[in-house]
Amino acid sequence: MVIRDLRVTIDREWVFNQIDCHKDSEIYEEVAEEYRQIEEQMYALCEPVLLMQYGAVDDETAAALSLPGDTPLLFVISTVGGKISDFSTRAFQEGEYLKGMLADAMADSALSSLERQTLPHLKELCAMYHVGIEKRLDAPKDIPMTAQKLIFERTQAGKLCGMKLSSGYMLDPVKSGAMIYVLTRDTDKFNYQHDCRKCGRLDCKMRSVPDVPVEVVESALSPHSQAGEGLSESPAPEKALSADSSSSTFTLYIRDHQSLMEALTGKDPSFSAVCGGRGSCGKCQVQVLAGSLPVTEADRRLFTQEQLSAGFRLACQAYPQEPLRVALKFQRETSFSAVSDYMLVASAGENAPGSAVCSAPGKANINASGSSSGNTFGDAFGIAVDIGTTTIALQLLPLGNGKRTTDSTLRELSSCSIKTHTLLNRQRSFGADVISRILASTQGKGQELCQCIRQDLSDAAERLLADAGIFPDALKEIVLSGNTTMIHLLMKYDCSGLGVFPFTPVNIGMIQGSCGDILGNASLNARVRIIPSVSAFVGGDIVAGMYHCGMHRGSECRLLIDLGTNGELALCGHGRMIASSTAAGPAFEGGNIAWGTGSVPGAICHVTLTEGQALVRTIGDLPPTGICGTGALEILAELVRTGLVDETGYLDDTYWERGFPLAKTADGQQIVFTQKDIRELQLAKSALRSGIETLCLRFGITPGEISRVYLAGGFGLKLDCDRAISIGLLPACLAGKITAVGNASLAGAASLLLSESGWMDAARIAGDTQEIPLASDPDFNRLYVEHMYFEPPVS
Amino acid sequence: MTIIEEISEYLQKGRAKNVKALVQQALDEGIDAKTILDEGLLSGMMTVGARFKRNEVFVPEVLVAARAMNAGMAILEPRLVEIGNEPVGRAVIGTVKGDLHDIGKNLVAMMLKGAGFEVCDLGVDVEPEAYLAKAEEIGADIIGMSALLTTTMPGMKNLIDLLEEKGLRDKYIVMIGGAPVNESFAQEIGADYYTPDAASAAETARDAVMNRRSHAS
Repeated sequence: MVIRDLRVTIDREWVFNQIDCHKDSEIYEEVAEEYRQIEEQMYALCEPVLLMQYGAVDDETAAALSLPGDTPLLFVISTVGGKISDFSTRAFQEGEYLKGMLADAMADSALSSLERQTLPHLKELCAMYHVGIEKRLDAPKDIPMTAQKLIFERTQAGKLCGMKLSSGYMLDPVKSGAMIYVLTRDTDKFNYQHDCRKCGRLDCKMRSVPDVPVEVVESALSPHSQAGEGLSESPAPEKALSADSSSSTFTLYIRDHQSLMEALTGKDPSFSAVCGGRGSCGKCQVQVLAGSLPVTEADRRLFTQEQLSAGFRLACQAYPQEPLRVALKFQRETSFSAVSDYMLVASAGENAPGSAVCSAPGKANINASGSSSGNTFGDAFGIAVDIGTTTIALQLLPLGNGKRTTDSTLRELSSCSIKTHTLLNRQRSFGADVISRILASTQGKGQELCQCIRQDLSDAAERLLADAGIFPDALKEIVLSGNTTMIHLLMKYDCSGLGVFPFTPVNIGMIQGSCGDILGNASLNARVRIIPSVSAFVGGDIVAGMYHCGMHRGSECRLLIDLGTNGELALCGHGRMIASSTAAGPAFEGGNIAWGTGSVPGAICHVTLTEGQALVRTIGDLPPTGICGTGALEILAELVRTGLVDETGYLDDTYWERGFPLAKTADGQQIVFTQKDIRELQLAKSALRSGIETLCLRFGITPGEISRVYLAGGFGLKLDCDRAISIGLLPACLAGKITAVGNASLAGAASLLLSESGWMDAARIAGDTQEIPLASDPDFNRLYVEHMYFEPPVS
Repeated sequence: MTIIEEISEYLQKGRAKNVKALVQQALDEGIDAKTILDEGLLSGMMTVGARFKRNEVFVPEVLVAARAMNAGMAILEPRLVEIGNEPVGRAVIGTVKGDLHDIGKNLVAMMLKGAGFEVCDLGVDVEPEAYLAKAEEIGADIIGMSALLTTTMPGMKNLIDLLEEKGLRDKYIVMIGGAPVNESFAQEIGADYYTPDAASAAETARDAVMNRRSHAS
């Protein structure tokens, strides 16, 4: 049967997506104009035809083409004719490449609209023959290309509409589709769509795969089950459900090539992928209770045979293909550590507060405590924000009556007038680090990422105001501090320049706008200002930190170290400022460490070794659950001190295989520190140390000439400086010169909220600071190898 | 910025009109046509190709840049012929016998032109004999074959067999590409190069020809 009365549609958005023309492209308008010019012509060139033929094949043909032999089949060809393709070819020959490319994609769009038009005819035929559709088969994915010959012959495409078949079994005109529907007596079945899941072309822009439902059982007692521990402690699958009355269940819908882990983080960012979903940390364990999930290479490496057969898998490596029921076996980071504490810093010239500092925050520490300030009419408030890659910290500060006239300082504010709120950056569901966020944004997730952070900031600001009993109208100003990528994502700038050499940001200047413009929240009437950055790697958060520490003033040489996922360094003095970012990695935050965890209650934070036995202390003195960054560093220092780790970082043979035992969890699992953990820390410490020394070289000083070190970030607050020096993280000559300053980025933002003239200084810091790229620096690379080792213990 | 740098800049942005005007202006100012070609047009296209490979720009940006290059070439070509300028190399390209896929091959032809090649596009459904005849006729350095189907991939080997048979295998650099093709297939059939995208194809072709010339001399 031949159907010619068909109306094709060409979907502009689809076409643009197909040729990779995105709204943020500089030539978007030009492409749109070209599209408009040829649109009408393309419709005119379409010659849509649909051919359908009911039939069956003999056993021999069925076997040759792997078709079912005993059921009726429906052969279908759809085409939009050859005129658009001819147009496209000609355009290319004439050098009108864009036109040619557009025409080709428009033909594809027309063809796919035609396939949708097949639907009513399919239904009609099915009704006529009293059949349903079992499945659809396409060449060459489901059936061999040679089957196209069969479809071509059965539909009489040559005779009825002049089509041809090439020697490679390809239809001519090219913009045609051939398929076989396998019919069934079951008239309720109507599986007319192509099953993209079976197709290997993951990057196909036409790919469409229905979501897979996965029922997740989250037990309240999810043990931190460690790989290789055997199954004895895990209840049998059937019992796991009934035994635990306090479990809760929810359903996830897993998108096409989305991992189970990604779906979990998308639902709630407190499901964190410690190793970034690389299948190396072994922490995101799930147990399959119903359905099947293929065993991956990483599963085989991390689980025993018994565990595998009991259904244990890693969520980050699992790509569910069928409905499943799984139990979560990994611990959620319900309490995370977001640091909003910071210390006031004496500016240069004043006496530095306490010279032997590197202690826990003292009295000068401003924190979240404070009674509700209530709202007085006429009072003006501001919010300072630190947008971290992992956490976001906000602080509400009074700006004085109405419009402030003079600059005030943080020092003048009493701590009770300050309120703080911290939250997890929900963008984590797109990736734990900056690089994975950049990647996500360049892969079309830019809009979502922007929406995510806008929502987070807007909600948090409103909540902070509500908690303090302040009317939204009283909020006059918001100051944002963040690394260059976080700001790019918020502003929905093109991030593609951030991820590749020569690392070009779109805009690193001071940005000013309304809440409507920047946060997409027009109900807040405040002005928003974003602190300028130095470069793609040294962001506004570091500028804020430098400002807070007064590094733009004075002549003494001072060093700022911000230890987060990256380690940023800034060195100032004699009117010069230089800065770098080192890929120190997340080890200092407990990332990539087998039993690593954030600074959460129960995390091992202090360790001493006596006669080969570990004595540990945990945060909140709770039963041990894992090791936080400072804990990892202390263990390493102790192992080096006692000679159990040699100068090359080799762990003593006794512990090499299973790791050094530290403590047992509440349910009796052994927490260990492994050889791989040592390597991770070695890399991180060497990157940071070599960064410090390279900066000194570029500055023309020795590390000994540094008069003060400001250690920013949560890690710095708990760091035992002597041990940091003993493993070579910091040069010994800095002992006694180190001050922990807490969240310096937030502090800088808060200071700038209160000081109009401070913005001049911030602009100067951003403009004058010279970035030293380390990756290509020969001195850095030489030092990096050198500092990988440890000093032998002094006996 | 010199006028040559301007040409390159405008080309990268796909501004055909500006490129055209500037090439004319450069010629009027007495700048050597070869310099305009190498340091203006070709260098601009090379930058665009490299940016495409790094995912900094996408296909549409490359298309408009190539169009701008064409616009410039239209002005420059007569002058290049006058001075007897030789192209970087000559290439014969087409989609193999039985395969009618056009677009990928078109993009490769476009990028090869952008790299300074003289390109003869034989279209689709090309017999091995047709590639060879054309290559002999124009004195090609490169034969490029595209195949998008596993059923037509063997056509690539047919040409290589034909070249062997005629004792001409070493005369040509054989390059292949297309969705189902990969490096190991290239090795298996004895092709010289497989490239995954049009920009790499142009770059590889250029390097291969340069390499061959430097060895020959």
